[in-house]
Amino acid sequence: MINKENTISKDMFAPAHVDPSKSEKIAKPSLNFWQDSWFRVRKNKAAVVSMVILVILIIMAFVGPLLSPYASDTQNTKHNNLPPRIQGLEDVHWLPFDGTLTRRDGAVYNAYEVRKIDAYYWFGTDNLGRDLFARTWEGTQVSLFIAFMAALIDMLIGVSYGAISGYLGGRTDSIMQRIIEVIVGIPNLIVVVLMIIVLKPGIMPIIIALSITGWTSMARVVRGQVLKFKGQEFVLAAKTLGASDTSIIFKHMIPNMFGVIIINTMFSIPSAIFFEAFLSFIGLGLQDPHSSLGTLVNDGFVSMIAFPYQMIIPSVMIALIMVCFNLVADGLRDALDPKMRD
Amino acid sequence: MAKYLLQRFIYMIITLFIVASITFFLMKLIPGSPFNTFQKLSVVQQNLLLEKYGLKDPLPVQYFNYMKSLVMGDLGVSFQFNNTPVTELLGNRIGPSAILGLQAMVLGAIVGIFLGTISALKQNTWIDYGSTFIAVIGKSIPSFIFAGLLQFYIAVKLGWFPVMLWKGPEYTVLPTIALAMFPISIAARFMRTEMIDVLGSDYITLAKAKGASFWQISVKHALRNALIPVVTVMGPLAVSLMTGSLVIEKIFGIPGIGEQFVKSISTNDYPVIMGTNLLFAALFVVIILVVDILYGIIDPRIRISGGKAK
Repeated sequence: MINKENTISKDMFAPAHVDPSKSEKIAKPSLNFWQDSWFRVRKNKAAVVSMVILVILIIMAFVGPLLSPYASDTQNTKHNNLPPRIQGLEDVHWLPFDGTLTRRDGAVYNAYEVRKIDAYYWFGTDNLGRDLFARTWEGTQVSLFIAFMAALIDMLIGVSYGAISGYLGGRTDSIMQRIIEVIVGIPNLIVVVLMIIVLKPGIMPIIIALSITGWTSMARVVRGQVLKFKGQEFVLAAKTLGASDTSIIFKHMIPNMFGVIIINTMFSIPSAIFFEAFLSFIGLGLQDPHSSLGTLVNDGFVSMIAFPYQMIIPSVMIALIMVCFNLVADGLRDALDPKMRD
Repeated sequence: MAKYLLQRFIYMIITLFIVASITFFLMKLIPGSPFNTFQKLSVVQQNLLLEKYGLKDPLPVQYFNYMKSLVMGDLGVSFQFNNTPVTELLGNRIGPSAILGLQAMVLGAIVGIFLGTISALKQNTWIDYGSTFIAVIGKSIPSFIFAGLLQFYIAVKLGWFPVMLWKGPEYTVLPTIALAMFPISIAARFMRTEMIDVLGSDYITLAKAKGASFWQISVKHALRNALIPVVTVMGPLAVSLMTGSLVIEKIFGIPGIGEQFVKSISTNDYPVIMGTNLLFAALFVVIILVVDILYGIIDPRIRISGGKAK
């Protein structure tokens, strides 16, 4: 500190040149909410990488089944239980794509050569000889579809319920809130399992069952936001200008809470994927010939010791999707939620 | 406090009543009788069976009878397991589930709090990134995937632990780890945020100023206060363990309640499904209540006094 004295010279104290015409100049371009949020999301490397991976996975979920020369539901029992083998990668033995299997005694053999099959199944085949590459991507498609639909329905119900409850207030609000309290008090595991038992397993029943319990957190968040906006000037202004209640809620309030709605939806997607996989796993998921990632993992468990790839590939896929969605959701929360800003 | 407790208790009863009613009526909606699998039975015999279990009475009568026996602690008898009372069936199986759940909870809390604390103390170092990575992985990946991978790589490939079944302490290791991953990650993330928050507060600066050592500050001053809010996540965590236990018990062949539940679903064993549902719901509401009360006791700032809180 003391030594710095001698480095301060007089010319450092020259008066700054102030141009009155430029004092109001805005140094940075003005960003709207979305540009600003995008700017913040971009800084979060994990979220960006996850987004890219998710986009690739979503594209592959649709394109993947077309790439494989085999259809997902064609059974070829002569080619059953073949391990993964990919052209070009089959000579790289540390990758799991060389077409080899391990016997109980530890001996490694090439299943394709032993059984004299000249084919390439990129992710192998299952016990009925169906191509797992096509099945995995179709399963991904189904899992993602269920998750998006469940999240969308959650969003619709949750936003309307929360907005109505908060906007009307008074007795309506307290009755609606008591209802939510009771619903939250029931473990959603029970509701989902019961609904599936009653509705019979299938894509639509799973979506319905997930929607029944999923909307409560969204409703609570939206109600809080509506209560906050209710007393603010822009709502009063809209009311004075004769806007109807519906248009105040949907045109004036909801656009102001897109951030929280998106965050909440992003978190409900992975939880829907989890529940779908979970239901498939306890035998309440999709039935053959439909496959989702959950049913593929479940099928793979049966022959885990002899043919581990049947379980590992869909497991890795679920893990990847879940991790990516969670990271993107975290990134969006940090970017969109004003409370989380540094 | 008494008023608050009473209010919570009434809520609890209402919730359980609703769960019981919903369960009952949904079960009745399911097509198919539990005896359809007994193909050797003639129509007359099937009718006799339905008669005996009161399944031919009008629905309100069945509902009333069910509720009446429920209040007296009787959950009916299982259709599939030689008329064993459901209470006895579940009672026999509660042991393994409880052991597994408690172990996972304790492991999850200890490891999670430890990871969260060190990553807050060593913010933005590789320790922090490592534990954040573990937290993200543990939070995202479903427990049955962990269970499958652990079973394959650790039990089958390396042979360190038994693959499945339930015969001694070494059999509990893999299921406990698989089940604990979620609590670990949630506790770690929560702990990290709380700890960073506490470390930034004025009294920590004061402790630093008076010359307290690093360990004194982090353990004696910061950790104790940061632990308080962590209690709140313990409730939801215990609930997630219930969900997890279904699949974990199925994968590892553990004779617990979850495995029983999955089995009963596939065999239409109504009384067992209803009993298990009620047990889960009761556990759920009790855990949430206990956590709320605990929170009030631990943190003097939010103590509920004389019902003024509401």
